[in-house]
Amino acid sequence: MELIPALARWLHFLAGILWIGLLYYFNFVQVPALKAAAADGTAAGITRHVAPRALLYFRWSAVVTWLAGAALLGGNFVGAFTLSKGLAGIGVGAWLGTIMLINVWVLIWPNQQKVLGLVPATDEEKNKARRVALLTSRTNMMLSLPMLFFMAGGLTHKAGFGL
Amino acid sequence: MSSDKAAIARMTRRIGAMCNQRGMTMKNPLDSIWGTIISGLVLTAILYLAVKNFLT
Repeated sequence: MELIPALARWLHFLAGILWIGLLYYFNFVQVPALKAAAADGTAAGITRHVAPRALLYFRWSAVVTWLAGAALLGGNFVGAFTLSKGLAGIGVGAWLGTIMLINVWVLIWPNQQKVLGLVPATDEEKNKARRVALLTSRTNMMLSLPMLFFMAGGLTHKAGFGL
Repeated sequence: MSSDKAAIARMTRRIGAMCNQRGMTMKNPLDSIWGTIISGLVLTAILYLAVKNFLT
């Protein structure tokens, strides 16, 4: 059954690009844009119409990326997560991706729901939620650099980095 | 071991005091995009060295 790993790899890449692309959109575009929009009173357009849609694709693409990655690892799943010999590189990438997925569902999404008014929250709770969501999003952006380094491992990594 | 901890605590206090004297405050690198990117690159280097030296 060569077809399942091939399809899993394709899906892992598609969903991963959507997930990390949206993560970079939030950090490079939306956060600075919201600051500027708040200054001229136009932030509601982003928080009402753009952010909820972006977050929908963001959190579900994270799940699809992880599941497709797990399917792609197949019989090497346990070996990768236990950082076995020969699988340590991809294992570190898998751990970082898993931490990022947990961050999305446990910290970013619940706090963004408060910030966007999708669940009731006081102003104080919203301010705290905004800070937690920002720092978690930045943490994921920081983790994405080594995650992509290890995930992209292949012949070039063997030649260039000895991994 | 405990003398190492005490030395680190002394050094941390001294750095904090020096920053305060110069009107500087320690900032979270994740508050800026560039701080985040530099932190990510440093973490990549650390993990790479760890994997190359201890796990391969």
